[in-house]
Amino acid sequence: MDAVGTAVMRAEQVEYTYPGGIKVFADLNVELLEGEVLSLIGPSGCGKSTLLRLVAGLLRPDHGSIRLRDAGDGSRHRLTMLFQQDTVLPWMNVEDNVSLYFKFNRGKVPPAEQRARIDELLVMVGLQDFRKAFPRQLSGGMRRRLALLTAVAPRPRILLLDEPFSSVDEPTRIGIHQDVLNIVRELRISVILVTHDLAEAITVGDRVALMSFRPATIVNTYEVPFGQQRNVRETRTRPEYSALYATIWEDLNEQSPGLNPDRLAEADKS
Amino acid sequence: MSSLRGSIPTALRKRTRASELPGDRDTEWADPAARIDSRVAVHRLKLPWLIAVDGSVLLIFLALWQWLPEVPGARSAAAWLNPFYISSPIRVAKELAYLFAGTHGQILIWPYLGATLKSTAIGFAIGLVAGCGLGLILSNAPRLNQVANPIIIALNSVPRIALIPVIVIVAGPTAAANVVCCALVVFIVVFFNALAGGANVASEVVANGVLLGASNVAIMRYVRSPAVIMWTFAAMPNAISFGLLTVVTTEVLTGINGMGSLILAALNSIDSNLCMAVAVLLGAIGLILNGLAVLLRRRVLRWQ
Repeated sequence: MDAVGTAVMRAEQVEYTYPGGIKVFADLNVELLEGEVLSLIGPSGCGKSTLLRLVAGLLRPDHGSIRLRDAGDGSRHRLTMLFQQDTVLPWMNVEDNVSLYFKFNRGKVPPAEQRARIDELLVMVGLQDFRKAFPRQLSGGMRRRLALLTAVAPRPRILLLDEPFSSVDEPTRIGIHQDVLNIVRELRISVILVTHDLAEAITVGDRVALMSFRPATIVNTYEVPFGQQRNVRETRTRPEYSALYATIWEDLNEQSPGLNPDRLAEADKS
Repeated sequence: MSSLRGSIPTALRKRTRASELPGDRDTEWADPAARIDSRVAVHRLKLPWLIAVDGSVLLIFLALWQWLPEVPGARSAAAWLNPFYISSPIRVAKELAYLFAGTHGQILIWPYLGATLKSTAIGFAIGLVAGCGLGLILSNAPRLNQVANPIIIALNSVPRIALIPVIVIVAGPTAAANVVCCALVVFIVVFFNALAGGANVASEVVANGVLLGASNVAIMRYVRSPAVIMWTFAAMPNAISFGLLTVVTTEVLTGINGMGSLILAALNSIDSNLCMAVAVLLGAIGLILNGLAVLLRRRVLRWQ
């Protein structure tokens, strides 16, 4: 269960330029370890979401390599992503949305196991009484939970979270954080979480990676001292949390071009 | 008592109102809702009132239509205020009764009505399926869409009525020409909606499907077609109105048997009663078809 150690994703010397000519990455190196949640934070516009799209294969790097380790037995779905935008299909009820992977990959998972997985997931996030409800009947937080279930139903090896909870209110957000942790630990999913919310990065992550402004690199990585099984709400009251928050906050501000005009000018020159 | 109140100094009396402090005067306070809330709020009539008001408008219109020509001096003031030109509600009602019974020297309307409705229904079905299908295909093939788009826009800017004679020359003055004209018009209305629906599916929704392992066919089936169908059904009431209009227009232009040919006959014999009766009947049919389309849309788009 605590098999943290081997890398499941490795990005090496990645170079990527936006179609408009802005260089996002010049030499980016980052690794995702098996079973961990890696939080990515960095100044606005530094390319966090672009990195996720590169890892997902939605974009291709200009140079360098991004590789995902294969499961070996080939049975495990490689990767899914939870987008910032709403990707729930409004014409399908909750159950059908969660089983999209099974519809797309007929015959991969036996029907009895499909049902068991769906039931288990719905219970884990408290949607078990809404299986026949249509998305418009759900609250914002429930819709996000539904999108999360759709992404984890395949039991992917890697899950990418792209600022997925910024649209919900804070108490709901913390509740969803706990759901995410419970699910990914149980299903042994490795996660990259992109966020602009430092509290989220620390309380959900096992490691927090700080990115610089573009061309972005990982300038520092911080170990979060809370262990794999944790109570998200409770971690916020710990002194280690406050200390880590203060440290990263200071380093993050140092990277923000808004506070360092020289850095912005430098970035646009290159 | 009045003498007692008169003895209290003004400043003290004002303090008895809890909201005011000494020195406050009414002129210093404004009501924030004054002339604001009534202009921002959406005022709506209750249904009985709506029926009463609209019903009265209809009755007044019918009464004026019926009796204004009877007012002494009205016809000398305006020559067209004459039932010979504008008919009257009672004449139209009688004409409709004769048409449905086939009496008083009037033809029986059923075959004409049937021909028009049949052409509309077949043309509508063909146009709907073709428009929806092509919209789905093009929304899945961006490059094909790019190539086809200028052609379709050019086709769309030709007034459809100008194409009717061409179709009639090819197909002859037959019900087939009617069906083709109707299908063409419905197709264009439906196609543009369907294409917009398919093309407007957010790229993240497609990416999400692809990452979940969906094939191109699966994306088309589970992600794009529901959006296309939704927009197609949204366009249905409009499309069916246009379809009926086109069929009647084709009949007027060519004399193919149907409601349009009745209008043509009425015009040639300067029979305003028949003209109005057909217009009223077509209005009623349009309303019913529109209602059916709305009902169907509500049924199919249950999830909305």
